[in-house]
Amino acid sequence: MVKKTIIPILALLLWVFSGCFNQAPEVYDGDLTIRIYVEYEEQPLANAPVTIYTYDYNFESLTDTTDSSGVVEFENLSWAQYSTYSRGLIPVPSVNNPGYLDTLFLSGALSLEISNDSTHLATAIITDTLEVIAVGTDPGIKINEIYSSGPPNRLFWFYDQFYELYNSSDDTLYLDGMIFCRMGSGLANVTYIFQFPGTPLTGQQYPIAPDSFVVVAMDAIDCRTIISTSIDLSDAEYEFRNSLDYADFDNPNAFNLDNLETGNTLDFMVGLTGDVVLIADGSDLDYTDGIDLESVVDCVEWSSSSTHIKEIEDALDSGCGGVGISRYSGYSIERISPGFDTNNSTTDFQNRSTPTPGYQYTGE
Amino acid sequence: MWPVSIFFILSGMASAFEPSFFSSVETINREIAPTTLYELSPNPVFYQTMHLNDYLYYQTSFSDIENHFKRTYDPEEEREYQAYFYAFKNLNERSSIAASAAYLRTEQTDVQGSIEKHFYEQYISCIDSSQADIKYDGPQLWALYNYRLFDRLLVGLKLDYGVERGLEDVYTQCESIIRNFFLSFGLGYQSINQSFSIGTFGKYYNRQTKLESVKETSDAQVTTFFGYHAYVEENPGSTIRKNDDLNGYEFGLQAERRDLLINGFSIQLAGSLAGRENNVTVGSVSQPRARGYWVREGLKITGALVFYPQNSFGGIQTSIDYRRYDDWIKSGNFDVIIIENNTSSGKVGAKLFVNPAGWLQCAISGEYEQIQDDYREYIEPFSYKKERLNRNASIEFKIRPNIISAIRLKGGFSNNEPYFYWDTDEYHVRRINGQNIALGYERLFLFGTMGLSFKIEKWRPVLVNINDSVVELTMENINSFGIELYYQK
Repeated sequence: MVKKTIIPILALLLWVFSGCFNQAPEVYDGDLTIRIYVEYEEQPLANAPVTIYTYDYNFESLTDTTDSSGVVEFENLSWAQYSTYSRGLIPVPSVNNPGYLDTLFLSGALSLEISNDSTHLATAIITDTLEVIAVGTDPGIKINEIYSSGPPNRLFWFYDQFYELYNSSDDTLYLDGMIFCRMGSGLANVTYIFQFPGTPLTGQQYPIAPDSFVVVAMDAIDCRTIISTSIDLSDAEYEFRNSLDYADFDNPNAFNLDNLETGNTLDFMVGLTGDVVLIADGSDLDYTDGIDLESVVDCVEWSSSSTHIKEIEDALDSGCGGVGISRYSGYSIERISPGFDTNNSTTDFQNRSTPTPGYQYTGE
Repeated sequence: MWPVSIFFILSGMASAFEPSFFSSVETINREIAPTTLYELSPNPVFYQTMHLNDYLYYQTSFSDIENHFKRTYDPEEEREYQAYFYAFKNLNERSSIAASAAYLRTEQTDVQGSIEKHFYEQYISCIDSSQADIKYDGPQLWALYNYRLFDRLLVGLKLDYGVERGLEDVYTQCESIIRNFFLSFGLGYQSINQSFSIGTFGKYYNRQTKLESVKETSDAQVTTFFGYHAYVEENPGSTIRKNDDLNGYEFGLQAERRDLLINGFSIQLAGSLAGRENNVTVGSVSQPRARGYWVREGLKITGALVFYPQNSFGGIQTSIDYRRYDDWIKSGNFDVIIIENNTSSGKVGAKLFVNPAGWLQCAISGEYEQIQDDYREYIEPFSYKKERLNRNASIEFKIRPNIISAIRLKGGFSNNEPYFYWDTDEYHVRRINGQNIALGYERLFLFGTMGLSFKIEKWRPVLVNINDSVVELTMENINSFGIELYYQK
């Protein structure tokens, strides 16, 4: 009686519970291979340093050099979302002197598409092509540093935001009438639009000399008098001042960027851990239909989130800087060298623990 | 995660919200006697092998652990306050009921990265950037009901429910909420004279854990570990939450034959199959990210041979215990295994009971355990394959100087080989020696029995330096002190 009752029950329970959980995957981590083809002007590029990195784990980035076929391979990697970049002085065949080599500063970046599909997992090899371009082919005014996170404080105070511009060309350029915008999702959505003084395109009252910086502050004051951990912006050359906001501080020694948006009574404030800002030549002041792509001088997107979904068009900025920066940390993002611009903020910018308004970070 | 966790040894109740993989029984104020079938395998129908008569028990207790040999994310000190009520009653000839209610407060001090209550017991665990004190509070309830369906057929049901909330005293002011639920259903056959018992039980358990770090001014910064070497910095945010949903089952069989061939000789045998899954997500409240899926399956076989004739001067019990766990953890991002673990252990033990006089009971016991670990991490390759040995011995007395009072005295020592995450390589720690002593006094009053007991435990890591000389780390002891006051009737 006992055997007849209990044994079928045991068998039934075993059968029921044996299928309770998901099946174990057949693939073990750590067998991923990434193969990168590096090209410059559609030709394989040898001896190019290639670095891969991921935000998925605490791994050090890995760097290797392309072989004569322009290929580099990284083996025994963990499965994760990787990005790659190549950057450095690299000898390439000379255009002007055939048979000789020119050494150019080349740069390029790429986010690898690694999906969870069975094809990838079965082959465990990811192949992609990284195209590099010569840096400095498009010199001009660059947004060189952005500080928006706020200083360490317990008062939720973040009004020491500033932007540093840099002239990477060999000529004196002029900021007259240029516009400074905070963007929403895409170039068609302008959140704030402020304008430099002067006449767009033709004015020459507000110069920026070659290889020099100017600082555009939210308010050009010594913020340390308010929050001791903040920074001194009293020497900023420019400040945002909304003439519709009568309480907005105005430093007489700083030139003002004024608000163009009807009804906006706010100062120029951006997100503490992420946003998009751009500067444009001022030829298109009708912000209601967005900003003309051709008028944009420089654009930067940043976000503290490694999984951030891009807001601005890739043509303006194909990457995103500032990953890992938290609110009220006192961190800024700055180009890795003055004016270094490949239209990819992921690789163009680095996080700085100390903001450097008006000069380039030179090391801890 | 079979490796010996000294915290779990020290604080059995603290782990009440981290359900042990195989069911275990919390024994209260146990007499010096052989193991019962229910203790070997907790089928609700055999609960009466522990208690035959109605029983009422109240207890308040306090314990304190100072851990000077702590791992990175262990608390410096852990204090526990507990109030416990337990009752068992035979309702009639066919049915009985037992119930318990407990309230437990645990205080952990100086916990670095203070999110998890027991960081090292999880394969996917989180820390934040704070060092803080944390207080955990929560009630736990269970109830058990037995019914003798026919003369020989028994059915039983046990229900456990607990809620616990933990709060950190400084920002990121991590808050943890754990809710667990167990349901066991048992079926058993017992001969009329109770000399033969066989039964089976099934258990389902479910636990939901939420750990939440919130920002004060700067964002909460949380790090998720995958095993003990690879980790990811979560995106900073105003609220970072870890969700850990656990579902599990256990299915057990047990049998006992008493008075086999001779009076007082009995055999107990039990086996369990268990499995559970943990689904872990971490991230913002609105966009949590899958961090891993952990499955553990295992087998336990235990048995005991007991010779303890009634009204004799003593007896002996020998026991065996074999356990095996198999773990695999899948990445949250890709369909690949990131951690794998196989652990098996075999333990043999013997206990000698001596009752030289009516006023004195004594028991001497010893256990020897061999554990084989095979732990592998694949994200950042790491492998730990080792055989470890643990030993312990104890001696216990119960002295009755008169008919209304009793003195309990227990002492023991242990010698354990630590798991790798005790930083054993760095410190060259090879073994951890432990000693414990407990002293209790109880007195019979008109309204019942009251008792008071103290317990002191100490563990000392043993170093082997480059000259192979052995040194005990006297400054890095783990010390424990406990006191309990109880009333029983």
